[in-house]
Amino acid sequence: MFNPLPSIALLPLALVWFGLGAGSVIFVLIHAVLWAVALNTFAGFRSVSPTWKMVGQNYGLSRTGYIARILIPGAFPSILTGLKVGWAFAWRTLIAAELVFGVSSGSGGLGWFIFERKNQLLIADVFAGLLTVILFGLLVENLIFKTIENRTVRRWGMQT
Amino acid sequence: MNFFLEPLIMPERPDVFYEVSTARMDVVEKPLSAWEKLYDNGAIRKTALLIILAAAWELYARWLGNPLLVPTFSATVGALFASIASGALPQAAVYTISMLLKGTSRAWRSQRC
Repeated sequence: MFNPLPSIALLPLALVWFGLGAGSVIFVLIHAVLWAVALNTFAGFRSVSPTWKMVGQNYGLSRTGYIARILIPGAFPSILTGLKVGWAFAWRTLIAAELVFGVSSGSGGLGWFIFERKNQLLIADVFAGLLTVILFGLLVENLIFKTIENRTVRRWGMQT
Repeated sequence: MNFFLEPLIMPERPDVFYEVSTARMDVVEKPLSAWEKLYDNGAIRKTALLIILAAAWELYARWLGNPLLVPTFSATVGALFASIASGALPQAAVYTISMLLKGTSRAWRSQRC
């Protein structure tokens, strides 16, 4: 229900509800991440192989053990995809929120940097800000998510 | 009369030994050309693509000659390093990342409650 709603569209409402602080941005970010992660996790749980589920029941695992040792590892490729999509959503939404929202406290973030430099007509600086945003995106994708992927999904042979 | 019940009479054949030479049957290997080896290397391929993109950007910006619309790539890189050196860009990045992590920790906390 909330998935097709761009979370940045909630920012004006969040400003009314939570005031001009970090709270409203965090509300928007949670809205950005939550649905992507939840939908992917749900899809992953539904696609766990019935054989593995039966093996888990055969072993007589407890309810938490069943979830922790069968369902979550079985659904982990989807969960990881959800986390990746959620991270991308969060990053994009945060930059956009900073563009709209400006400075809440302190000196402002990357979005504010871009907006401010555009107002000063320092277009080269705007491009530098965009490059920084891209660089952080690539860094998280290639360092953090690559490491998690190599240690779990690839090691378990669920993804080649 | 019955064809199948008649004993088969095979003519005697002398044993024949063939000498097979394996002299010219070593492992067949087609060496990759230098271009193929370079193209197979992900880092080199991506670097080359980035260089091509940067060159296209630079050329277009020079041809346009309007730094208010499209600054050149070299100007952009210069601005990037200048902003990093002046501390404005790292400060902004730290602010943004701290906001992201703040959201993460708050989400975890509210989930636990």
